[in-house]
Amino acid sequence: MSILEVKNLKYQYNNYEKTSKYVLDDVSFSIDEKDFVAIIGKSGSGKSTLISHLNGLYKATSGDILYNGSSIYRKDYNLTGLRFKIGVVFQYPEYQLFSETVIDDVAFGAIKKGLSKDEAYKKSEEILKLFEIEQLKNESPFNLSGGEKRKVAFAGIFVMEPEILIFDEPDAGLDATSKTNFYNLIKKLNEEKDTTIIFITHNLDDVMEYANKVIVLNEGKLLKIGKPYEVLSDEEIMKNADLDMPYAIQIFNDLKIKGYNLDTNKLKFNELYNQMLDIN
Amino acid sequence: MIRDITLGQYYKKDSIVHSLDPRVKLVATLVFLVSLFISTNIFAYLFATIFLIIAIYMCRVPFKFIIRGLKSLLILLLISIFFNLFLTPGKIVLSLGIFKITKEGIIIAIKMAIRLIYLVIGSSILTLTTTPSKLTDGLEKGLSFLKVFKVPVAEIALMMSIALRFIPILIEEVDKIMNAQMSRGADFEHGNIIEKAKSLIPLLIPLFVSAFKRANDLAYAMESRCYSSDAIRTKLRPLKYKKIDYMTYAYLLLYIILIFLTRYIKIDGIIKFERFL
Ligand SMILES: Nc1ncnc2c1ncn2[C@@H]1O[C@H](COP(=O)(O)OP(=O)(O)OP(=O)(O)O)[C@@H](O)[C@H]1O
Ligand SMILES: [Mg+2]
Repeated sequence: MSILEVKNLKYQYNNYEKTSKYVLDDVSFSIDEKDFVAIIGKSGSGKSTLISHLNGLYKATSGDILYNGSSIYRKDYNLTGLRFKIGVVFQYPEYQLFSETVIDDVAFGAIKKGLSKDEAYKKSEEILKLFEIEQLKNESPFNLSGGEKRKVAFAGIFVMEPEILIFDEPDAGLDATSKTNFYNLIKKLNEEKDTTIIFITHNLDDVMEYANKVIVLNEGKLLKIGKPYEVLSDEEIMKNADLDMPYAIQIFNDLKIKGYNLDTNKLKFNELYNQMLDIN
Repeated sequence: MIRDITLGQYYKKDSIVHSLDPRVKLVATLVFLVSLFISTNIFAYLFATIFLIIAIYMCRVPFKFIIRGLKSLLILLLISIFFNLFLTPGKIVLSLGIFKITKEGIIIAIKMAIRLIYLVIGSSILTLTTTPSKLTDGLEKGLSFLKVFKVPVAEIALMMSIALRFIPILIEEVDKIMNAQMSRGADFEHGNIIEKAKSLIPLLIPLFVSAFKRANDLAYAMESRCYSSDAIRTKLRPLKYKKIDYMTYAYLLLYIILIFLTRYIKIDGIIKFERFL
């Protein structure tokens, strides 16, 4: 059963002018529980705008969003409650941090959710440890490095334990180790706690490694939604979206044309590697 | 609510009003504001209304966008109506205990409401159609005669332009912080007025922090480009009157004469012109 359903979503930033362009133009898709969804598309294609709709922060010009089958645009819908269930980490951590100290910032969501102060701070510290930044807890979030800010932004959302986690270019500004740790962490949440994950990225290798579903946006339109191989190997879609097909997929395709029997559902680095080794 | 403040915002569009010299627009706004306060009867308000409608039509900014700014003014408007309505002595029309509504009160309340609304719309049209830098240029040039009296016109103009430029930036900042807090469960929309006001408090600290940070950045930027207020500066696009600007001045003159003439119209049952020559 789909946990999140987007129906004919349209959005324009300036809704005072009839002629202003639709940043989202008739976007429809649905996401199931436990999905690991990648949203790809070139800069300005509307990815960030789309995810700002998913927790009701932006109100669509037209169209509907259903969470667990009920419309979040219903008049009496509890949007605040929804935001504890759908956690969104913004593209720019500066836009997300506002408290005087890191620990205050992380605890904000937990306190709003109804935890006692002690519990909230205890939990926040645990999460800071998870991201290996517990030593920063009394710093001002504005004086941190880019990667550190991003980790604090993650922590502030993780602390609410949402059912759906949404990340906008989570790897930007992270060093290689932190990035791997981060992806392993959300993979674990996805596998063990059935958390649904949606992430925006420009790195198609990460899409192959982690996603089970891919959404391609271009100029506000949804070009395709499907399994990673279906989408990434579709030359026409990739060309229309102005994206380069990953090398691994190109090699994979050539091998398939040559008659080798390969499993298109196994695209993770290890799986690909083993498939190639098994060829001879 | 905060997002609805249009004061100081610029709305990009190609229109005659946008292309007018900023000095003309400054004078026009001034003339309009003065006309509102010397208006005494319905004819003056009629002319002011026509003037405003023409300006709104010509500037091609969506009407909905212009009046968006009025929403944040509602409380001020209600307070002014309230006081005028109940506290003006005169012929009593309706009395509710200690509150007495008088005929004079009603008239003054209506006048005040119209003045306030027109005043805000009129000055919004100025800022909606003029970029802050043009506005500053206009002020600087328009007030340059004051330099004779040792008034630091350039500094004042710069201060004005920075202040004006900061209004939309601060509003954007508030918007950003609200979004950040809302996505982590803060609620700005529900509850009574007191609860709503309370929920705004956590916005203030981050707002001040970022405002100071921005001011600091701006100071660094100005210093690193060796800004000095007594340097002689040239303009990239010096202000120069065009034909349309002179025409607008002529219309303004006509308008202000009309407004003055209305003062000599007396209404008592039938309309009479008083002798004024
Ligand atoms: N606040 C805004 N006001 C007006 N237009 C905006 C605003 N934010 C974004 N846009 C426009 O909406 C379009 C989509 O922007 P969006 O930020 O969603 O793109 P994106 O796919 O996330 O790009 P990127 O990969 O660079 O982050 C762009 O054309 C942009 O110019
Ligand atoms: Mg983006």
